[in-house]
Amino acid sequence: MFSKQQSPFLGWSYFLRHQYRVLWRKGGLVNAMARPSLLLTWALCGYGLIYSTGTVWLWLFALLSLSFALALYQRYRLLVDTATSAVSSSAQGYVALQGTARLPDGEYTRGLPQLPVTLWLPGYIEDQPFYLLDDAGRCLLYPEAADIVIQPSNHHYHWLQAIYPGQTLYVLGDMRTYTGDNTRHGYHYRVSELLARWKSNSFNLLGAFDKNGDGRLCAEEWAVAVKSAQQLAREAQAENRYKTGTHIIDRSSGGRLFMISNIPPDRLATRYRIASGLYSAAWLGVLVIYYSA
Amino acid sequence: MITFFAMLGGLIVWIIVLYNHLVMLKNNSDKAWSNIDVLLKQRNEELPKLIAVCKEHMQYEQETLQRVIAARSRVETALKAGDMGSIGMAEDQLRLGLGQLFAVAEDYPELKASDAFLQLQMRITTLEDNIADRREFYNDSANLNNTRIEQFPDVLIARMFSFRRYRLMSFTTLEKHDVDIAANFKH
Repeated sequence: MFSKQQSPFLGWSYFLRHQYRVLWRKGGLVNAMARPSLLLTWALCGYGLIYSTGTVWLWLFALLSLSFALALYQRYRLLVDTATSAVSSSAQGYVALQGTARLPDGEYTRGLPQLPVTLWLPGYIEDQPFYLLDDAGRCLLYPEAADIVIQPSNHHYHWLQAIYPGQTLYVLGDMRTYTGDNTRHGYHYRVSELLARWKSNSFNLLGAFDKNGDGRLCAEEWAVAVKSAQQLAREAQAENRYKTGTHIIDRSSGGRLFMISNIPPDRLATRYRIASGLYSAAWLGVLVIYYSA
Repeated sequence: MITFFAMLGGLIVWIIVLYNHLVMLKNNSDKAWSNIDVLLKQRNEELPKLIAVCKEHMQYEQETLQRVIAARSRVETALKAGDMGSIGMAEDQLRLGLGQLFAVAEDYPELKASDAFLQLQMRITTLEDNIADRREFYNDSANLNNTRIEQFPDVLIARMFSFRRYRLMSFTTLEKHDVDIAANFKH
């Protein structure tokens, strides 16, 4: 249950340190830079640099401001321009999902004993999967590689940075569905498995395919056996196609953002848009000041 | 001079970000379409099996069966041509035909008791539900792409690099109305 083999009764200092660091460690630098407190700090840094240091530091400040502006703008566009899919539709590829967080089947408790049940808790439970449910489907989320962008909620403790069961989550990532079709039990695997199984019982194999009764399978008889195995594999594959698969999001391809958030997407998008605008203004401000100086 | 180059550099990077984003929107729409395409093909593979099972029991419903066969063939042709408008119309006809087929099947107890029929009916209904969900997702993705390439400043890049609009898979009046069960039983 505990990711780093820790005792569940670790001290408060360890706990609070992780609560504080989660913003940087799991939310990522870009997300952290969109917070009002850091925006203000950044503006004050810029103000200080203009009046106290040389040009090099000012250019560095401008360059970093532009980088943050572009990164935040990309995040903003990703949030507003990714269509939200229903989990049940099992649309494969990069999707946005919205639903309710739930513990996996058969698991009734998770987290620290002195706290309410938590699905994800910084420093303690960071890599264990949990479900995201919507009206008609559910998807297993593996948060290990995700940017976790969370805010304390009023579910339990108003200060605790965690994900609780029952919380509404917004997820961006690559959805994949595992069925009998795309697991290792593919067509060729099935054919080889069937043939191997038949071969292990030579009495039955000869009984079924030794048409001339010479006690062994000639090339033609073996070809018939292979064809039969192929036919059975195709039928099994067709059956599997209609079995409900397991939907999973554990990463995103092409360097795109894999994010799990308990902040409503429109609010998050507004935050990124405003922050991007302010960093752009900082960049332009430096250029204007440099030009007019 | 340095200020000018710094501004130019920033502008170029911003244009690259916008371009990459339009590429992402295009790929999202393509992927959303391929998500539907695969299900339409699966559903079309199941239909001949359903027709074969129905033919054994429904000798007096040749017209309904022919309607489904013809609609399926129209969907296949439209899919091959990649014409979204024709796919939508052909799909409407096919759904109507299937609705009638399942309705008249109620009159054939032997057919209703057939495991093969029940299994195929369940598969096709599940596929239809998934197609409906994925169509919604495709329409959302296409709509986001279409809106973006018409907005300033994206429109400049979209026109420069010929980003195209995606046609939506429209819901016709037939689908929006409740199913008229009584009409389906008139034969």
